[in-house]
Amino acid sequence: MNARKIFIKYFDLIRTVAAILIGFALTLVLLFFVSKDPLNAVRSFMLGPFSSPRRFFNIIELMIPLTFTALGMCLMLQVGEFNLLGEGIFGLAGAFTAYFACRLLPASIPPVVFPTLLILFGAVLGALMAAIPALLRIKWNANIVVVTIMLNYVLVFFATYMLRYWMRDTKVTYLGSYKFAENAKLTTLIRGTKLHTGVWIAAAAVLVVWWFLFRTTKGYEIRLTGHNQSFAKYVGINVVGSMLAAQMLGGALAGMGGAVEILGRYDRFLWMEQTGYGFDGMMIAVIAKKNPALVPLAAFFMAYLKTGANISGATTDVPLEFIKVIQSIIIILVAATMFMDSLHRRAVIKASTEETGVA
Amino acid sequence: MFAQFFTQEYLVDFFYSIIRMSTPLVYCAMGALISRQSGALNMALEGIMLTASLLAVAFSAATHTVFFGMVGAVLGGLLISFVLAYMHLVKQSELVLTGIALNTLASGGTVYLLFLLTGEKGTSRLLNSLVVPKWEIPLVKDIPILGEVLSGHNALTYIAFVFAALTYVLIFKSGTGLRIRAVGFNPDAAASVGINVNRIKFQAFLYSGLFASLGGAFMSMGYLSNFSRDMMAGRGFIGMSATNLADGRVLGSLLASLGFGAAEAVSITLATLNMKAEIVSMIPYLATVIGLVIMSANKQAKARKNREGI
Amino acid sequence: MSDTILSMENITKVYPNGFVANRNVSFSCKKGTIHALLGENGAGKTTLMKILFGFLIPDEGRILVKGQPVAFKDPQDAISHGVGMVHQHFMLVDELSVAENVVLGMEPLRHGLFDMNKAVSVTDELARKYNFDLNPRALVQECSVGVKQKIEILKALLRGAEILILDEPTAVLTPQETKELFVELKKLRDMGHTIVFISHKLNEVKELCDDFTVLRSGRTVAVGDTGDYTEQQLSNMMVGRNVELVVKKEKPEGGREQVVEVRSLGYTSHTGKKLLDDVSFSLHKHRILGVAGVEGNGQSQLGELMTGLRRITHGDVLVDGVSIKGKNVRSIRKAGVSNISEDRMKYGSALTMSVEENIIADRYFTGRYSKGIRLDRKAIRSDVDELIRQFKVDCPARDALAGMLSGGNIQKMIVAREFTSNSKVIVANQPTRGIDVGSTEFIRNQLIRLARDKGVAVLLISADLTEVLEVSDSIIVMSGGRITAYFEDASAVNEMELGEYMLGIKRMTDEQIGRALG
Repeated sequence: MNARKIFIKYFDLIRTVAAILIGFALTLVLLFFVSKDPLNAVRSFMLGPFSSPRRFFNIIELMIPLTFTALGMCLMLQVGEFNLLGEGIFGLAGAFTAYFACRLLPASIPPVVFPTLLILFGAVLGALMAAIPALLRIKWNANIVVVTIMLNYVLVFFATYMLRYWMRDTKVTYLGSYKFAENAKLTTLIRGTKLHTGVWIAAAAVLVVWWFLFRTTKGYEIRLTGHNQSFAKYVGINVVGSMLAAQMLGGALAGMGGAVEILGRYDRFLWMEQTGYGFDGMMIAVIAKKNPALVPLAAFFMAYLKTGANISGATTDVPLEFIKVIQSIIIILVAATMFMDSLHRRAVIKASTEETGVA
Repeated sequence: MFAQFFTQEYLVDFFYSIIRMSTPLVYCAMGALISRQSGALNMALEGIMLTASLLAVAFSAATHTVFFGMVGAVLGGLLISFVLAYMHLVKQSELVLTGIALNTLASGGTVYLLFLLTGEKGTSRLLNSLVVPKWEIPLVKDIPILGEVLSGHNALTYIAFVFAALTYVLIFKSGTGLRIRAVGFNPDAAASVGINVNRIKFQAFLYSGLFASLGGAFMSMGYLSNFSRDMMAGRGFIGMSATNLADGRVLGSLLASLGFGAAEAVSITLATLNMKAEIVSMIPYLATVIGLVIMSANKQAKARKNREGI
Repeated sequence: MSDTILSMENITKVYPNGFVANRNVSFSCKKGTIHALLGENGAGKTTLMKILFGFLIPDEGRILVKGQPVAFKDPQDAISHGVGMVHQHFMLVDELSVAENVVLGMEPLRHGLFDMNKAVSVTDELARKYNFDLNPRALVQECSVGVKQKIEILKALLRGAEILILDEPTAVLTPQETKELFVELKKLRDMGHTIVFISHKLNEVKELCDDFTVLRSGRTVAVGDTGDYTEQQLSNMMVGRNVELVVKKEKPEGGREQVVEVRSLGYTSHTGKKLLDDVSFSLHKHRILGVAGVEGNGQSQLGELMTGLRRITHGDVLVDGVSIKGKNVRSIRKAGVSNISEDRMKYGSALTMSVEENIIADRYFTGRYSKGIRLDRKAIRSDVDELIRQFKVDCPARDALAGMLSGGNIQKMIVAREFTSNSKVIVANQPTRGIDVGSTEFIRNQLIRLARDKGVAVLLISADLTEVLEVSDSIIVMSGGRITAYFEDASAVNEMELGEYMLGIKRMTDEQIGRALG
């Protein structure tokens, strides 16, 4: 197989990688402009995440919430809905989990059972919340993007309200909740890092969601509905049911993510604004082409970017917000169907003329 | 606790702030209206306004003129809408996804730029930027009570209403507007008489960015006297919803913007009355959702009446 | 004294999928005449007119307008050479006024703004000149279909059209509106315009047109003066059979065992038009009932009602004596009805999914392919591979995307699914439209085997008369949403006779038609 054929066969992958490289190149430009010591900034951004085991585990830690929101978004996108409530659900589930973890204090519940219950609660909460915009859209064709963005603001205000009035620890100077019960928290796996058992839950979630989508009848119905609703109707699939189920499962994953994040990496609840994991999740889902199997890879890349940005933000004079610029540029390029299309077309034409020339 | 709300002083304040809060929404709604009429919702209005508000501050600080502040805002708005239009119309990207990405780009990009300019990441208070002057309206200002409500607003507030009129003329009275509407309603019909559909949509996106950018300028050169990160706080989406609520009509969008402005005014007023901030802050967002749902349900009911089979 | 204003010489057009739509077609009209372009569905009329209007570029041949050779890149080119087209589906913006629609793209301006008064006066003047009765300020959505058609004609005239193409203009009109249109068209002719009139309604052609050209299977088969031929003769020229394909068929075995009973089925559109009116017939085991008719005479609605895609409001459909009224698609399929949709891209397949996923779409949930919610991949793979082989679906692998296949292979993939679902009944709607000859022959033979060997009752809806005649055992003819003829023995019918019922020249008695139900 010659280079041209490889190019055509793996065009989709090459396109995504090209988008990422362009984003990366732009990062370097941005860093150069803003830093007084640009070489150091670039080094700490690119190599920082691998400079110590602790930092490397930071990437893995960060992958956990990203994996959950991305899996959730995969399900939303599988039925073609931009249900962006994952952001708000993540925060709200975190708040409720925190509330139960610091206020219930049921010492008699064993350590494994308590977090399990809390994570399940997060899932149920997420499913129910996600059903709201899904139903508004299915029943009344409301603009789901606007509705979910608005509701995200509402949910984050509510989470802050819970923090301030239901679980604020007045003994600390900052705005934070009471400390969580020890038996609520997820176990730390490696001393000196915050890597916790949530990583196993996230890995299991990837497997289960992939298996569900590609190996079960219900997953098949959801995908078929997303690919062609008319066809789904014609073979007798319950289209409304599939749309709702996919979005509720997506919400459940975001909810689990919020719960796992709070129980794994925090002692107290501190969130007062949007975590941004919702948007990150969407980006990962888009890069992974809505395929859960590719989510860990894209999530790792994302977590690497964010960790690098955090490191250069902490150790140099660079504002870590520049990472959002890179993220959005990559998304814009990946989302553009015609990005690199002329190269692709030229290759296809050349390949076909070559073939006919031989024959 | 509500008794003091009904004092004259409070009421004047309240109605004054409705107009003030509506100003960015009016600009944004008009921008959304233009793109909506061409058949493609401008999903990047939030980012357009945010970019515009930073560039307004930066340009006015650099040139010490208000006018160039406006120029900066417009350039920012046009830049983002150009990228959206190019990506969507030429590179055939998903409109929603690109719009959301551009909003995030603006959110991160403005902070980056702010840091580049001032070394700070929160606000632009270090920049010596200007504000747009307030205008006292002769005669009107002398009317008791009403004068206090209607006069003494930022110039951009009055100009917002001029822009609403401009939108009306552009969309409903000009040749371009006729083409924009034709493209929005039935692109095939427009193409059949030789209209370049993509070009018209491109134009509409640019107009849309231009109009909305002034709303951004108002936020940092009127509503507040400097830029602060993520200061749009969803106003781009609320303004867009105002247009959706009014189904693309100018007067309706104006009224809906005032309605959402009122929701914000209520939220602020209640906060000063010691209501819990987190709860009252939800009001504008919930109002938007409820408004959208009622409108969609209404429209759906009407459509259902005329639909056939399947 | 009339001279040739338009001539298209030796036009050949081959679509990328290899389908030859026009083969060496020649077509010419004289100035100041109304010229009928006749032919069955798929005869190549639309392609020829698309070439004339600049939508398509011919592979061979040339076009002369007023003796000058022209080459149209796009409709704008055609318009500037005086060719105008009134599409069957109106290209109008419903939300704008009549005048705005007429001047769109060439708007009059005053002080830089759109001059509505000028637009109205231009429209009004033009309408008066041609004796069109319409209100320029009315919104198009408030106008009747007849008025919309006038607006389309005005649009073309304002742009200087001397040659006006009307694509089945009377299909959507009431008899009264048709009459009015004819008066107007004759006036246009008398004022020197040339009109190309595409229609299936031969009485109209006789009444209105001066000359005609008949296309069949992409070729010009006849040209003449309308006055010299009877409707029968014209009909015969249109429907001449061309037996290119070999379809083997033996007599059905056994007696007439009824499987499906369709009882006075009706359907009324939201505009109040009766699209399907009192249709009754039955389907029998081992037998194929063909539905002949020009497209758009209620066949789509019939297919959709019988398969649950549309809700039954009037009449009933019984499968094995049980009504399917109010049932959803899944349970109708479970009752034994499978369906080849006429729109294979929209309803028949998911082009962005794999061939495998397309083939299992109606059976993935059955015991053979799933245990609980888990899909049994092994069973799926082996069966899908077998079906791909059996139905000769030419695809690189079962996990190739359906959208990568040619039209004929997509249809074979759909057939592989619908023909193997162990159904008692199959509704096959335009099963071979627009696909290559090889696939067409294959699918027709499979359809016959399905009936004869598996005992399936088949309803074959097709606008292709050859197909209906070759494949069916019995035939009903539909026209205007009603059954106009029933032939118990398809082999005793010839296409000429069928054509007369299809084109509304003749209608059987109610008693004769009633025999279809039995």
